Amino acid sequence: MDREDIHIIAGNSDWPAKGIEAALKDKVYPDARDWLKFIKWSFLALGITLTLSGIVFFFAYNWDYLHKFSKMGLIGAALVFLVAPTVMPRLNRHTRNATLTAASVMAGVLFAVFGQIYQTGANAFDFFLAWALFTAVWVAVSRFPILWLLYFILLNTTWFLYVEQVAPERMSGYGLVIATAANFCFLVAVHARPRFFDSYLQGPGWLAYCISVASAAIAVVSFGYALSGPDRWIRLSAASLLLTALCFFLFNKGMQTRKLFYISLVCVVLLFAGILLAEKLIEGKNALIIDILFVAAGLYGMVSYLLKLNKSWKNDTK
Amino acid sequence: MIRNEIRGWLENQEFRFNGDAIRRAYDSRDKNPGHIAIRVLVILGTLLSAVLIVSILFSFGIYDSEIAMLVTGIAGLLAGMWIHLKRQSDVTDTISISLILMGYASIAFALGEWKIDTGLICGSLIVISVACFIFSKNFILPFLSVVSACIYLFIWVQAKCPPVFIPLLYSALAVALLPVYLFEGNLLDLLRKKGYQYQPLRLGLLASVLAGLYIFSPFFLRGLQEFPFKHYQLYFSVPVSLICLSAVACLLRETRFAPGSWKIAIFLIIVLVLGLTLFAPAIGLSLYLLVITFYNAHKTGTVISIVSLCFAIGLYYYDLHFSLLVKSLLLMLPGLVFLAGYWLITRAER
Repeated sequence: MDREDIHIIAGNSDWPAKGIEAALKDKVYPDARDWLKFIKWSFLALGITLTLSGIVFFFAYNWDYLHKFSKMGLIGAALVFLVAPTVMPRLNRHTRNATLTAASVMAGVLFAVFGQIYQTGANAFDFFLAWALFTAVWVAVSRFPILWLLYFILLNTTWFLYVEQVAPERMSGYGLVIATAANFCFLVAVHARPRFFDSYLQGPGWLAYCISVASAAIAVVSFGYALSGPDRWIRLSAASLLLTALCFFLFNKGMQTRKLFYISLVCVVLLFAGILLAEKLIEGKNALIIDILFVAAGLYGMVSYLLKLNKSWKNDTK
Repeated sequence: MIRNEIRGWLENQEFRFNGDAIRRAYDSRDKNPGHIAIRVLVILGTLLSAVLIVSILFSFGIYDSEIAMLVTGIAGLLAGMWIHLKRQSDVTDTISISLILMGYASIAFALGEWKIDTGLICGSLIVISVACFIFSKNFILPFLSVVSACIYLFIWVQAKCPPVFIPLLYSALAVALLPVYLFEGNLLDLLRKKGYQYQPLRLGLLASVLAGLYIFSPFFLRGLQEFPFKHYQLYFSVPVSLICLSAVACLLRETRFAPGSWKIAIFLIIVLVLGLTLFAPAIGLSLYLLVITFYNAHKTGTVISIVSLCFAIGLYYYDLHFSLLVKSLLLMLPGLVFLAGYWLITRAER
């Protein structure tokens, strides 16, 4: 019995309030174990986040009284303290993952302090690149989805900084297209080898959802940007091709795994891509009319299709 | 179709039930099974369509005449409501809600153009929203109705009442969340046939309280504005902290997950956190929402509360007027306390 069952029965009976409350507590609400788990993981997440932020702030302060060797020594010691226990086979899986995440953040602090002390003249791209390179092994061995998500953000930041700071002319507007392609590859990898990204999970979980949304958003932005310069038809073709491939992949995944999330995401991508295309091809009032017709008809069709799909999947599982 | 498990359970109950109505409700659910992804798509799509319809009406010059605006608005509202009541499904909702939103916007524009008093405009829009909530079915329209009614209430209070009324309304909404989340059984008993409106009411109120704090208080989106009076934050944080404490006390009394001494320790920790963050009202509210949404097993609400809490904590440290060194110590200290708490719980579990 779930919440919906309780609501249906309560709406069509004279079930007393006490009975409804008791059923909800028994079947729907979290029990003592769930509460304990919730408090425990909240404490761990808050503890690690606040402590690490404190460490980052401490070194960002650039305390004059602390000698440069002390600063580097402190970070080095913290890194050793964090990484050394992770090689112990008896260490709890969650503790190992949390420690490797903390060590990965500390590696970034190390490079920041190094640049601060020696005034290396490196730009933000160099800093992020070094950070990404030197934490790659930890991320790979941890197989911890939170760390992978942070690494995904780090890689994207590094790439966009490269496009902006190092090669703004050399890339000639291909930065977004290449980012779309790279994120698409990452997405394929998350689906093809889920256990590489999460040591215990059998199938793609929330990490895949996050990467899918991010990849889809970058693909739509890349397509919109490519449309703004139609004279560069190679860029436009590449962006369109990647968008199509991404949609095919997500649709296929949705049908394979029977998850409406992916199909809905494809619908949202198509909706936005269609609006962008209409805005580009048609000008003035007609563009608005085409847009509204496209959105209304598209939405109607997509929701009908999704409901039909959901219903047939539910019937199959009965 | 009623599952055998439910049928068997119902046969052993002493209360009276309408078997045919329950079967019809199950059949209707099987015919139109909802899904969060579809709901998000419908909400996104209807908002987009409504914006496009309004822009098209603008470009055709319909909005040059107030009468035309009002007529279009009323026609949109009635047509949307008629479609919504006639064909209750998520598919037709995409069209009906777009029309209702367009009607809503057109009426607001018309009343605004006539330079009618803000209180009257807000009042009429609140009445329309409440009417939409009462007559609507499914999830999306009642949810949007609750949010719009509360937002117009805030706009009305902001325009017509002294500044102290904004935290009052915000606190009233926070109090309203208590029975919705903690006494769901009593509320269902009260709503009975209208029980399907429980879920939109719950999410709508949650979104409205957050909107009340983040949009209508001067601390967040509106930037660094002059506070109407000294310690204005306390007017937001003190009532919500008290509500949060009463919710925690109620839950600690009900749940049997720890011995008495632990319960007192948990209560004291929450009192300490709320006390230390009295000048950061978003932390108290997010903590309160997190506790009640987790108790109610409301996943969407829990995710929203966690995001709000992260934002609130980040802002709290950002706004502290201390050097980075002091801030780092203030971050590390509670961090280590939380880690010690984690270690204690793990040890106690063994």
